[in-house]
Amino acid sequence: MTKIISIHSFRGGTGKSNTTANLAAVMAGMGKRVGVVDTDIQSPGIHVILGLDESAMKHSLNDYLWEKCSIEETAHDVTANVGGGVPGKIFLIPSSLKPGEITRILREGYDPSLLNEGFRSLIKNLELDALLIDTHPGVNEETLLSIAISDAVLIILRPDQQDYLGTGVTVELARRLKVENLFLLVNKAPASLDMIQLKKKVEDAYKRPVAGIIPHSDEMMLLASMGVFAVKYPEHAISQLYKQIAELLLSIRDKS
Amino acid sequence: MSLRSRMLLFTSLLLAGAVLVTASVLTWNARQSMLDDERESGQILARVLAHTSYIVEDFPAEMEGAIADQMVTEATIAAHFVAAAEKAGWSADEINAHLKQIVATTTLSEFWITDSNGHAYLRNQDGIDFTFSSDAAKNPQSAVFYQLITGKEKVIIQAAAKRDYDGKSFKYVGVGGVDEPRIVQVGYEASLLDALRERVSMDRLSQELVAGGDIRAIRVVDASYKTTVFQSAAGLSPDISDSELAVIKDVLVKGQGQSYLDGNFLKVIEPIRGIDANGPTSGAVILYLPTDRLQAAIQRQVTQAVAAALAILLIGVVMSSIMAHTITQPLTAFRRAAASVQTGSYQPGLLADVLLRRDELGALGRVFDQMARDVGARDRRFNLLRVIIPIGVALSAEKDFSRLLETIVVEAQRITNADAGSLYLRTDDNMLKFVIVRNETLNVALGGTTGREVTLQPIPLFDEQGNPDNSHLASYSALSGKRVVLEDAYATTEFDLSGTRAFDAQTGYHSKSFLTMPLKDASDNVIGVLQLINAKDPITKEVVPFQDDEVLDSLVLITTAALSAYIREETLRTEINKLRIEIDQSKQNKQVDEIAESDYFKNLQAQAEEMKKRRKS
Repeated sequence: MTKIISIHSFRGGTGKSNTTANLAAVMAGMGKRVGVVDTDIQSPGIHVILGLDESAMKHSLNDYLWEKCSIEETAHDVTANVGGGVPGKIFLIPSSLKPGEITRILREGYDPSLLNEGFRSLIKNLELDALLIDTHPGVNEETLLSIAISDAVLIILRPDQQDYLGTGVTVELARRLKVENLFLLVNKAPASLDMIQLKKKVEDAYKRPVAGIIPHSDEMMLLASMGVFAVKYPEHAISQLYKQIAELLLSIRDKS
Repeated sequence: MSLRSRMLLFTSLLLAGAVLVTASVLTWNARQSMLDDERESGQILARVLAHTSYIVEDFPAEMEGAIADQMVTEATIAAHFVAAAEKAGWSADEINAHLKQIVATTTLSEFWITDSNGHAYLRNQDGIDFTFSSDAAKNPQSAVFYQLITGKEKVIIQAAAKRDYDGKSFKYVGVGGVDEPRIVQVGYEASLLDALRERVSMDRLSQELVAGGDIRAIRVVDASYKTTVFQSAAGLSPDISDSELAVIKDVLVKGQGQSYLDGNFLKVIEPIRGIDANGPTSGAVILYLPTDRLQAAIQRQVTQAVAAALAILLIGVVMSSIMAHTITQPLTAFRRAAASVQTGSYQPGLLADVLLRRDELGALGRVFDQMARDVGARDRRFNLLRVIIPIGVALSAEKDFSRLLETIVVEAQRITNADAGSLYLRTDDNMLKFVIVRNETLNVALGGTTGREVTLQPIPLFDEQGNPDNSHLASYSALSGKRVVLEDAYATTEFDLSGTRAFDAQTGYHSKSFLTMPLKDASDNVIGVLQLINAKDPITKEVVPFQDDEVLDSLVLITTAALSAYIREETLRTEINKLRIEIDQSKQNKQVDEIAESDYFKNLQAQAEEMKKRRKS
């Protein structure tokens, strides 16, 4: 059964897009067909990490929401761009990078139900094993929608007080939207921190499982958003951690 | 005047004085000795002359006396011969023939034998018919012989004299007749006596001696101080000076020779005596000996002595200069070393040459060196107590991180007398970030409490490939954990000092000596790098290389401890903050409610389940 997984963080800069790209890559590495939807319409960015050049972008999510094209036409196969000769597939549904189109969709809005329809269509027509939704930070309508329709939600947070508060809000909203599989991922944890203690503290605070704690990595910082870390350094401990998280997310049981 | 100059002057004067005194004594002694020699020779000669003068006076007379005695005998024999011949009846011609034969074969020259009337009928000369007369006016030379006829005299001896009529020198002796009154006179040509008189005379002797050149003049005076002989080289007055006369009188009265220097002469005066050496004096011989040779000899000696003195003085000056140098050089080293001890920065290198010496100065140097080291060690201990510990105490309580960083650089500069200093801290992304930059000459102070940010680019510890970048001094020090001391940064090719060069070019500064040391925490992790530039000699202010300094090491140790404690405390505080998850429930609830109460959310809540189901159907 196809898994819809929303990746969310309450504040920006948590490494949300990076985590999404890495999870997509390791899933493709497992032979899965993975769709990645950039719903961060206001500040799209994951296309950079997945190596999709703006000039190669034929249609965007914006075109689909304005009913200019079908959702499938917006899907770009970026498997080769990610590299590493993965057996699966990665399709990216990017948001428009054109400033005019960004402001238009923010001004005019769109029909959120179209988004849900699009997801269904994608899963069906591209025969996806997983659909990863890279959400906009904070809580807006499409984010709430994504969370609501997801089989699993992964909330990324950094270990600081502002993220702790925001994450609490998302967790509570997800609970009310009856999201069953909600995981927390602590990112950019200083290496000096006691990881086990941190994990326990976070789980105690939110009563939700922590899928992993990713320590701050110099190599990752260097790589920045120039590529997918898990592909470049497949043996790295962090890449292994991504793989575990991917397996965890793919293994969630379907309630119905 | 410096010690060295005084020593030089003193030694030289001493040497010159010694040489001159010695030369004077030697010259004076030589002069006296030469004078004594001259005087002695003069005295001997004068004595010989005095004695000779006596002999020269008497000898010809004695000689003539002896000849006269012989002539009396011959005349007497002739008288007896004539008497016998007459009696035998020989004719006058026969007798004269015999007389001629005698004259021809003996030294006798003439016979004049008269009759009782004085007619010299017997004679060896044919041509002259002579008759003796008693009239002295008529025959002034022969008249005296007439007394032999009268019987008034039996023998008459006449001194040799020149004959009036032919000028020949003759001596005549006559005796009375044996058989009848007559004059029997024999004549002897006295040229031998004349020659003797001529040769054996004081005048002649004196002349020859003076002509020899060793004696300038000879004077002979008689008992009444009258000059009898005076022979001299040209230009001397024959008159006796008053002073000379006084000495001559003294010599004659005392009978003792004397000599004295008078102008250019050494005058030697000896009394003249007879055969008896203790007999009365009859005059004096005065020798005028020239002193010019003596003076020339003395002049020569003085010249030689002065030349020797100058040579010794020169050698002495050179030697004493060398000696003074060998003594004063160590003294200069001692002075500098003492000054460096005074300023608390004793450098053993200052006495390196002295310490190698084996003499007393070397021994003194070693004692001084040990003492200076002891003083230095004591100073360092004192510094540790007085400087480092208070700094450490102050820093451990310092809550202001900027001030902490600044203090490290300021105190390190003070201890090493460094003109400039920088402090780098290692950042999480492996860069060395400038946090403090200070330069006294340029009056630059950035970072710390100054409020002015350091804008210099941080130095990466790794290159883009992740390899260690050891090209910079600071990065090498941080990566290796070693300190680096550079005597002259511009002379090194080991490190990339382009940043320093650019800084120098921009500011006109000259960065020369460097000390770069890592700051290590208790776990030996390098947390930063301290760089000090241009250590200055406290006295000369010249830029010198950095020396090992226990005080600096202690400062770095203690400040790094304070720094790492601060950083650890900060990290801990941050970590505690990160681990503490305090969720303001009311705030969270408020935010949740704002969203949850919106129509959209309520709608979504209602539709969510439906949407999921629809998708999965």
